[in-house]
Amino acid sequence: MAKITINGVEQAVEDGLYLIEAARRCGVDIPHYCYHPGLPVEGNCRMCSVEVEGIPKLQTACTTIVQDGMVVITDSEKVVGERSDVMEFLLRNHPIDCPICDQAGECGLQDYYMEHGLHDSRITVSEKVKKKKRVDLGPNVVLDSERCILCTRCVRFCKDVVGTEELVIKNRSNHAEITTFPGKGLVNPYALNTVDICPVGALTSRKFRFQCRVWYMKNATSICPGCERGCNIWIDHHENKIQRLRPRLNPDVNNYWMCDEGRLDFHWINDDRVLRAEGPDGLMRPDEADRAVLALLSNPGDVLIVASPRSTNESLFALKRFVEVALPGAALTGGSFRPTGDDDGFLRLPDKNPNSRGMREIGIAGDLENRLNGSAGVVLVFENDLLGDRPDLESVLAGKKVVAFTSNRTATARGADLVVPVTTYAELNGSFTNHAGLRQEFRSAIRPPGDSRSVFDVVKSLSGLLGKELGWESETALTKEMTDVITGWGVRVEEETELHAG
Amino acid sequence: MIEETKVLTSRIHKKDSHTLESYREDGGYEAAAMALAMDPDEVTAIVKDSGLRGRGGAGFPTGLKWTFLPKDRDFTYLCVNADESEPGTFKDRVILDLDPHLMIEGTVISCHALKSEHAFIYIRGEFCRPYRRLVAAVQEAYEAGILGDNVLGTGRKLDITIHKGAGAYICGEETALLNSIEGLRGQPRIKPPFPTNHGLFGRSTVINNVETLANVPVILKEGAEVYRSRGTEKSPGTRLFSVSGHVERPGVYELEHGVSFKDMLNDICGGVKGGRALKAVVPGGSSVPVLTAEESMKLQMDFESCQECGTMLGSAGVIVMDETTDMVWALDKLTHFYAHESCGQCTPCREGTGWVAELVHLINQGRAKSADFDKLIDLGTQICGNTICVFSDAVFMPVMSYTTKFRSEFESKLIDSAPVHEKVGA
Ligand SMILES: Cc1cc2nc3c(=O)[nH]c(=O)nc-3n(C[C@H](O)[C@H](O)[C@H](O)COP(=O)(O)O)c2cc1C
Ligand code: SF4
Ligand code: SF4
Ligand code: SF4
Ligand code: FES
Repeated sequence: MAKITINGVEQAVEDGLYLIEAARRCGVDIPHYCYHPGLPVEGNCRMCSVEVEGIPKLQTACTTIVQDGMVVITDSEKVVGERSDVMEFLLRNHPIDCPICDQAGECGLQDYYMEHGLHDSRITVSEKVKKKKRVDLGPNVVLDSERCILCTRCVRFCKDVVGTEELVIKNRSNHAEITTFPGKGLVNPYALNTVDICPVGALTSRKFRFQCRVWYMKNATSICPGCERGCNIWIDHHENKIQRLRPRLNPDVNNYWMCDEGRLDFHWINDDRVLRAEGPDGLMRPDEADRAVLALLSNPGDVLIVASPRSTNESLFALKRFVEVALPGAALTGGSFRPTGDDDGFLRLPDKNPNSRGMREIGIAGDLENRLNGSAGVVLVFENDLLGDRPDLESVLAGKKVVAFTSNRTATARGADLVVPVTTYAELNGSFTNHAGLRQEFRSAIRPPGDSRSVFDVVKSLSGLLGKELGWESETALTKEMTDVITGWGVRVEEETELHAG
Repeated sequence: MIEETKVLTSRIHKKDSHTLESYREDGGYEAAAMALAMDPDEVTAIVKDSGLRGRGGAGFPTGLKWTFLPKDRDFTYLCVNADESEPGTFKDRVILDLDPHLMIEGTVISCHALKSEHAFIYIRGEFCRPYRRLVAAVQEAYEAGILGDNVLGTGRKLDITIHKGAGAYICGEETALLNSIEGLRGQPRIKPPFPTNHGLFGRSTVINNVETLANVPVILKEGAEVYRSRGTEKSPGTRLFSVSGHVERPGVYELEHGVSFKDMLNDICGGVKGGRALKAVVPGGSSVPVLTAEESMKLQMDFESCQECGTMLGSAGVIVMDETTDMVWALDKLTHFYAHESCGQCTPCREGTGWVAELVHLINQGRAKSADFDKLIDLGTQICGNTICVFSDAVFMPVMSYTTKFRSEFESKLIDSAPVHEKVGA
């Protein structure tokens, strides 16, 4: 531990920390642009300069390592003056596009100008340096060179986090620009993280640009369902539509990052949803649907229930209990035919389901293929697009009565005799257990569309009709029992750490 | 009447002075043979005793710099800074072009002192003939067994790699130079760590200027004491002055440190061009504060006198400006250069140098107001003190000195300056 004095207050901090991080832990925020805790330091923006006793020149807090006895001042006239100078320089050639800029509202320049600039413009004459306004760096990321403050966060991300080194700076002086090598693009599967860490509106996501003003959006903590890593995310939504997904800091899982595939995979939640239950005779109310399902359950021995590693622990736990108490004799199986990917050594893992481990630990057998080939005449498929993943199963399912509990109009839904809408993870409080056995909770972000119900509500209603009790008053009670009985699943309290906007 | 003291430049007027044969005729590589027979620390001690100071700009004591290398290092590089790009400085070129073996011998001796087996020479890309001659000289040295696996028959190893720059002034800054050799973007590194601890490819590295190293064989040959007999106490030895501008005979002249500027101007350079009056002098390359004619008459050409005079000897690039010089025009040219050469990583330097250049240009064109001039002065101070390298100071110093010492010239070009108002009123 090192004792340092920040603005007159003596504090003990860990050895080896950069001053900027040490100060943050002591509750003193030092403004910064180029510094990002997930990247190596570069010290180029000069925004974080502070006074260190005994050194005549200002020192950049992001490159200075704390030393025992260090005396630091972060709010002297000199420091404040320097910040304002840096702001003035940063804005010298900045286009101030705020009215049309996607970053407005979460922009490092706007925020710090209000906090540390507030100078009058002294740009008396002439033109700003003109640069390209729309450069397609790659399939997902668009660059506005004029807005760039050359902090090199994006460059360092590609070089030091992903290791692909697509981005570089070309040219010197105020003609310096972010670019890729000739003929190459920003194509790494994590490229959109550069948009998050870009402190200004220079890098924008092609999918998100011009879609929604950030101040309209609300955010909910969630978990990406894209693979068994379970990256922690924010769901940013507006008017009950998801606008974007962003990574949420979790040093044990995904740090500050997530992959582009996971980030961009949310349109199925907004679009093409099943809103009403549907049977051979057309649309049904939920109670009609439940009775139609019930009619198929008269012989439990003929019923196969297919669970999915895309369902939450809570849904799976409820389903298992449902079979045990209300439908003894019916077979319960789980699994997925989703094509697997590669372990790329960073975040993405082969199993593209978020909850395979949770399903296993709850005790749902994974003998899906065998069971499907068995004799069951009625198959209830919960959140599992069997036919989408394996079109060849059509012949297997052909002779059976299929009920699809699904959020979307999947191939399985199209081939089913009965379709019942259920919620997605974005409309649920729940949890997934990732590949490492970490049970991660998330909150519902948006309201379920149409008649969508949670699997819990569906099976609760079905058991009611069967005259059985699942035994929980609420989902909270379910969660409690589940986390009590499964070892290692004790409730984890998520620390709500916001990514630094700037 | 003073004269040149030709120590480093004693051979440059000879025919084929750049060849190994010619160099050997004059006792070339004898100092190296002598040094290699000594203990490396002994060589360092001699260089330290000589009081040799770096010729690249900062004037840092060379022997002292060498002792900063950590004792427990496992590998050391020497980088020779032959990037010579400071406006007004063109003396390294003379050595590279006319006596490259002198510098190579300095490198051989220095590498022995530093226990280095690999030296890099970073040469300015625009130096065409000097580059060809340097390459040829290194080749000759390899063939003659001066470089390679058995340096001068001692069984020691030394390789020299020549790296050509691509035209960036900033690559003369020592850590930008290291980046450039490594194939990275040529921009200065944050210090600490210093190159002596973490330099080229992460290893202990010493960077020295061409002229600095050219002094080393001389020091070894004649001993520290004789070497110190020239120049002044704090600036021992001779210096290659690059004199340009309004003088009758511009060129590179070798003089003892401490000569008076006046004598240099009149005796060596034939006085101000056309017998006109002197107006201003830049004594140490474009980055140091300018002096008025009056100040320059009291100036002695050594590190300490320059400092007393409020300027620096820098790289000893002497730019002489006579009464016909428009100082605003001169600063316009200079700031244009700096605005173009900032590496662009630090916010104040990247944005500030461009802004400064723009304002000076406006003033020069007679399109600026006094508010612009005030802004220029402000910017001068805003730029420096908070950047990764001292490039920003190199912009600050000329801006502040030109605008202070020749203020009226700037003011008279402002739209709202007093004389203009009078004219309008009349
Ligand atoms: C912007 C800038 C440009 C420089 N350019 C050169 C140069 O062209 N040649 C040089 O020898 N030193 C140059 N230097 C100084 C070097 O950084 C370094 O101090 C020098 O090479 C050390 O050698 P010395 O101790 O032998 O002088 C420059 C420094 C700065 C800040
Ligand atoms: S980057 Fe920030 S300051 Fe610049 S235009 Fe966008 S919102 Fe405005
Ligand atoms: S694009 Fe954004 S992250 Fe990249 S250097 Fe510019 S401002 Fe920084
Ligand atoms: S001061 Fe200027 S030249 Fe030096 S590192 Fe910063 S931007 Fe580059
Ligand atoms: S220089 Fe420290 S945050 Fe940029």
